[in-house]
Amino acid sequence: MTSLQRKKHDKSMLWAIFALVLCGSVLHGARVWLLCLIAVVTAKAVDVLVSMIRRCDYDSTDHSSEVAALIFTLMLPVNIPIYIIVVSVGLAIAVGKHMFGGKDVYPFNLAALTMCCAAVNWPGQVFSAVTPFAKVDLLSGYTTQATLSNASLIKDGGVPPYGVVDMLMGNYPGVMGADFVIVIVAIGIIMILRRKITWHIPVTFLVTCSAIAFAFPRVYGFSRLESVQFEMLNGSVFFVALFMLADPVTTPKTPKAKIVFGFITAVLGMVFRYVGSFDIGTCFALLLVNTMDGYIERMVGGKKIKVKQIEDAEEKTEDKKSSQRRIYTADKTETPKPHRERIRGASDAMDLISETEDNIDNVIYSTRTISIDEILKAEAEQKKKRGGKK
Amino acid sequence: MKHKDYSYLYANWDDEVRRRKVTLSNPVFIKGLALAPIVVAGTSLANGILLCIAVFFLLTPTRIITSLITRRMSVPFKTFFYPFVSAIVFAVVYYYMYQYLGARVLLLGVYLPILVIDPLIVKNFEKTRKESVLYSFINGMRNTMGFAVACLLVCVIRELLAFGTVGGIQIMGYGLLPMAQYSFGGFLIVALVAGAWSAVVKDYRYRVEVEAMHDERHP
Amino acid sequence: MNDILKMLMEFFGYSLIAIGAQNAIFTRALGLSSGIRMLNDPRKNTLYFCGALTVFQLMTSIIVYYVMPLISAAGFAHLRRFVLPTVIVMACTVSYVIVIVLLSLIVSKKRFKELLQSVTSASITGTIVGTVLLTNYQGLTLLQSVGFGLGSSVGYLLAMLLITEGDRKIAHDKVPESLRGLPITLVYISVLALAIYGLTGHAIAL
Repeated sequence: MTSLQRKKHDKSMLWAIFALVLCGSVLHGARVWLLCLIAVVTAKAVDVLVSMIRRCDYDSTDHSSEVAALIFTLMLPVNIPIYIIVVSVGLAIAVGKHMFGGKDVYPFNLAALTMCCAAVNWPGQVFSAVTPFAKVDLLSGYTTQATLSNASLIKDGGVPPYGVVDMLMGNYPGVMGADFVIVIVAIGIIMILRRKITWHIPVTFLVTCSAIAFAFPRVYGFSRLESVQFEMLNGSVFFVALFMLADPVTTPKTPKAKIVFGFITAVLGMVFRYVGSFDIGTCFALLLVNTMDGYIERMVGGKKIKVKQIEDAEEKTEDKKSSQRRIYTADKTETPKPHRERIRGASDAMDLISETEDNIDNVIYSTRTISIDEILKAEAEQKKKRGGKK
Repeated sequence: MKHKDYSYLYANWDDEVRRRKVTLSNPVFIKGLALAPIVVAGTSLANGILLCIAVFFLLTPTRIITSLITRRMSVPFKTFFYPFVSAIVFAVVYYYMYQYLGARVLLLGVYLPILVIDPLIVKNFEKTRKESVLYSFINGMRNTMGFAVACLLVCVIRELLAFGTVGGIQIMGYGLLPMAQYSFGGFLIVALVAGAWSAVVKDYRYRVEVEAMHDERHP
Repeated sequence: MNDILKMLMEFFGYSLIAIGAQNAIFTRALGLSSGIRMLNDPRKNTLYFCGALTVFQLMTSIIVYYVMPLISAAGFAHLRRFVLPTVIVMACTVSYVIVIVLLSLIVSKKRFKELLQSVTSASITGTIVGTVLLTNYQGLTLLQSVGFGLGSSVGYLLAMLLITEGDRKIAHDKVPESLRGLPITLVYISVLALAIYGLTGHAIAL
């Protein structure tokens, strides 16, 4: 995934999100726009601020933070306090994106991370639901029509008392934008047909989730198909499948790996939903699966990765042990046939143990000395820049 | 600071790093030792103080006793002898802590006893060099100080963020970030403080090098 | 038959708790320092280390389980809590000696050398001591202790595999310089711990 492809993807995502914000504002009022605006401004502000702190150039064409902030906001109820959005988005963008190196290299899905941060900190506010067309105070978010979300209801053993059409249209107490299943499906089909995203992950994810809901129904006294209906139309499953799992930075690149990724996310997501403590189990599961995508790609791609230990050329002058590092290569190395030499008695074993112990070295993690060459180089570059400006 | 001092610092940087355990080679933030108690149990200032008391009475005595006994001991035995000595010292420390501080010592669960095998306490078994008693005492105290500073700093930040209090005294109306009380919040806060600490140390190192170079060019 | 099934359920139940909800690294941070040191030390093999850890964990759990009642029987029941770490360290030592003797008899000199670094490092770690302390404080039976110990080691292995994979992702020069090494690894672990928290949903009892 090149940077240009990612930017195109972000732009198409922004258009898709715009459609959902529009739907949300019809059902939940003007506060949806306010909250989305606050989320975007916070994401942008954190991007700029961190770029200033890191003294690196700010890329105004990178919209990954805004996309993540909007996806997160659309999964919240409209009565959510503003500070929750500001703190969650700020923390997740600063930690989840910039600490790991910024755009194109962050390892965890930003929207999922933001959602998880908010969920563990303020579960009461995050998992409430607001009736459509309810009166909500624009600034404080106060409303008298807040209730339990459908996903929480199912978790507690209940069944949402709404018809299929209402559920498809999002016309029930819910969140700002993740409940409009019919709109989300339409957007998904358009994006797949226009090749903005590939079908592999969302389709595999949805099919596997449906299969699990069919095989292991959670709600008793209803048919398996009704179980599928309850599980799939609640808990933002379609929204997660389309908007979170389609993130090109944190998902595998090959089609086969994508299918496996979608399958594992669905299985873990359903386990987290069934057993876990939060309604949005898929977000937590996604964070976990994000760490496995490297394994998945190597497993499905058939590449065998071996760990080679080599000496770092730059640090040869320093202590050999500390300069050793792990390099991962796809080469096949021939292993020589082992020469089987036995250990002769206890003293031989003790000698070996002594040798091993002597090799243990203090590993210092954070402080790396800065070489004089680096400083001279930096100074020379600075001088060049100053000279160029003049 | 004079340039001459910077030159001296630059020439003896490794010794300085070894000497300044609180700042340049903090056992927690730079070397990553004793993370478990701070990350999980270091949720309040009270817990932090208990951890510091335990480390104070455990680290230096263990180091002195082992330096006295293990001068002629071969390395493989040291690996197990150091934790053994530290466990015995801990039994005495734990007993008296329990007598004087009461059941609150037990609230730290496994995170107080686990100190006996923490690399912070027994790390020096890895060194083949023999230590004098005085060196053991001084180094032990420096490590204790380094741990105490790191532990109390993290504990105060976590308590403030999670509950809005410091040492039980209300500072803010509510906790800004309730996740600070959980282990994942602990990981994050230790990481952030360690990153900031590391940045300051690197900046200082950079300054020392630049000033020393300046001194060499314009003596 | 029912009893065997019940025992198996109990055993694997405790193992699963130790792997997930009470994960040694993500939930309890046990053996975290040695785990991070292993990442930075290319001479230690994760699989060897965790294999040795599992063996030591099981042996230590069993030894401590049988030794602690002797202390109570000798009239020092009130000192159990204080001497427990000493007993665990001694049990680790005994386990190490047994494993080394067996290894020196079974494997070749070359393999012995290969294994030694990991085996020695795994012999006394926070994971082993912490897990045995936990099982003792909670008064678990032998079966439960061994199940919990096994789960703890497997959980540690899984956690280390995830962290090792993460180490590849975060080892690039775009990560801010001051965060490279320990801080960024801890941030990575914190996100994984957050994900595990989604499964358990409650703070652990210390």
